Amino acid sequence: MVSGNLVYLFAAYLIIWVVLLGYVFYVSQQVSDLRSQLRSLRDDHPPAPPADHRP
Amino acid sequence: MRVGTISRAPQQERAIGPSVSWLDRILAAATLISFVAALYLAFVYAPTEAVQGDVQRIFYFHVPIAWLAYLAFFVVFCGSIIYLWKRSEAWDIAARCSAELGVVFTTLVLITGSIWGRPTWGARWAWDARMTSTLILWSVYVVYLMLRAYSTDRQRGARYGAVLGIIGFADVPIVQMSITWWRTLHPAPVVSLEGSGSLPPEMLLALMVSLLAFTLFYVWMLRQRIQVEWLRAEIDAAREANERG
Repeated sequence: MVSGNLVYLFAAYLIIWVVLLGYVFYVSQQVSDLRSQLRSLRDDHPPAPPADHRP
Repeated sequence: MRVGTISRAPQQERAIGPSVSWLDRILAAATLISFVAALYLAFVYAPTEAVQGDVQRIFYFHVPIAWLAYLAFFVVFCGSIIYLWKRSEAWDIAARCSAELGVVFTTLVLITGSIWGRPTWGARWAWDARMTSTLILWSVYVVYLMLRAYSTDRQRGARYGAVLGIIGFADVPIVQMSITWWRTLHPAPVVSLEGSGSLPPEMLLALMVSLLAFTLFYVWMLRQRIQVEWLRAEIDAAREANERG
């Protein structure tokens, strides 16, 4: 049986990890979504080639 | 949360956006390794405190998180000053991203402190100087983030945010010194730069490794968060270019 004090210890560390991992997940999702948005924007309209390569 | 965009990010700075650098990979790996070490030291290596028992192990994460909140708000303070001085958008972004991390850390400090307070003091919350000044600190930077998120004029939002970021930092020394200036439920400092702290070496080592882990985490996450802002700037620039044809 978990003693009363250990419940508080467990709760504190659980909350720390949930919040930190949640934040890491949230930011990394944003990075990945924005990257794919940027990729599709660039695929739709590729940058024009430099002037000396134009026919 | 959308907190604004950069209209004219320099080309060299924009290049940070699309790739994961080797530095980010190293930072992520070092953060993970140091967290594993910190957990081992906190739960296995450090001795059980005689009076409080195992619940005192909350200390090994609660205190470093509080210190990292101070660091995050110090970066907001410096970034805000440099933004007002040089109008550098890069520093404004660094300040805004650091404020977000500071609020995450302060939220954790308040929650873990409240959990620790219940078995130790018999109360989840007391309006003592340390807890009250920490709550004020958290509120100031939540207002800062709301101001940045909801301001329609980016430049004005950045200016007002910078002023708030500078003024808000005045609360950090008050939080730190509150246990010395007033009688509070919090104990006297157990770690001091003069070496007069009362912490046994095993506990001090566990605390320092945990501090290292959270510092690495902060640097890594700050870089990730800044990358989000640069990617948004890239997207805005690409959309503008597409609209122009």
